[in-house]
Amino acid sequence: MTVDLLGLMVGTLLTLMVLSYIIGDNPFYRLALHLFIGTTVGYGLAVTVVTVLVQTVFPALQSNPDEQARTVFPLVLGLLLLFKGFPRWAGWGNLSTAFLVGVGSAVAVSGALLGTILPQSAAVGAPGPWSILLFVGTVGTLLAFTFTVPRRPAIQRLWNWTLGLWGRVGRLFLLAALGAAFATALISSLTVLVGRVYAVVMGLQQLLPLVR
Amino acid sequence: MDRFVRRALPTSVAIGTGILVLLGYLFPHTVLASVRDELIHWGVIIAAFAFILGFFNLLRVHLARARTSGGIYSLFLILAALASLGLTLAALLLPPLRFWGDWWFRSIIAPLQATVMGLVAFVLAVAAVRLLRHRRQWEALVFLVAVLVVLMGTLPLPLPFSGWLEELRHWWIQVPAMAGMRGLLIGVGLGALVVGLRILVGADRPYTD
Repeated sequence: MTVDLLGLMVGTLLTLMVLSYIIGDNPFYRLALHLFIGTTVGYGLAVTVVTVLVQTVFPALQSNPDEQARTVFPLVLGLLLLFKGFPRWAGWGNLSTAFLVGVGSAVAVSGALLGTILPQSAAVGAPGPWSILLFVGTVGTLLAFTFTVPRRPAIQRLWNWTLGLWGRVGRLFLLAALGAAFATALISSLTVLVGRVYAVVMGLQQLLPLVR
Repeated sequence: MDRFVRRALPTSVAIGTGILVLLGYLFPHTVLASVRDELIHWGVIIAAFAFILGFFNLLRVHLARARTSGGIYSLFLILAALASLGLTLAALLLPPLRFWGDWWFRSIIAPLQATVMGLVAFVLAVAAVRLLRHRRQWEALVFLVAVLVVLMGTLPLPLPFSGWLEELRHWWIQVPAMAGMRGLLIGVGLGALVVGLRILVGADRPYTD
């Protein structure tokens, strides 16, 4: 038996184990899911170690003093982070976690502001044949998430009622968006599923003659 | 001293680095941009250690579970993780062993990932049926219409009005779905902005014990 044939057998078997979920939760599916998590995490760690440590950190440590100085600080913080694995010493990892949280939240804030809120808000006001409908839908979707209304004098109740109505219209746009996203996800996953079923059929066509 | 190391120092580091990175994004043509890039580079290195920590934590949790009854799945998870780590590392670092790393990816990882992704189609179909069975409201109807418009307009159906369906799908995605998604994106962006700013001003400190 060649190695490729063995790979074909294993791949086909794992595919069938995952697809067995269609008839309900069962031990084969659970085993395949645990293998999926294990292999994915192991692969991810190997790629991370090679890309970051082997290809970036170690060469920098063997380079000129400037590069070494630039690399030592994050390396020390990274090593401190490993203390989080020991409850007694976990406090020493707070500094590294704080660094990651600080950088991460700044990237998230700038991404949200410069990459999402400003460009999307500018696009709402852009001229076009359906610009009014787009404006009504976008603002309505935001208003659909308004769940509390402040107590106001009678004259302002009309304003609250208008906003409430606009929010209900916004729910329609929200459902239109979620339906489109659902259909797109369904098409993508169906395409992958068809590919896997085709691979299983082809695999069985090659394997069955060997059994006979 | 202990309180300083555990609380005050991490808070100062989080606020300081966060503000420096944020200023680097807001003023990209200044020296702050290179400071931002350097800090993000450091963050990537530290995040790699976070991955290592997470990996060993996963192993520890499943090692404890493997000793209990029904822990056979955890045992397989540990074996799969170690084999995947070893073979991929060997393949990436030692060219003669690259074949085995490729074989592992092609025969184990790719089929598992693709099939789990394919299983999403089944889960989505079941969810749609349950929605229609349990929530027979006009909102479910709008959702169903949206799904059908996009599905029928995308699939190459041999229908006399398939061109019209394609145009309807295009309009649906460009106008009502775009408006809804844009509202959602702005809402998510506002939420991320508030959460991030609360951390940057020190109101939330998820890094302290």
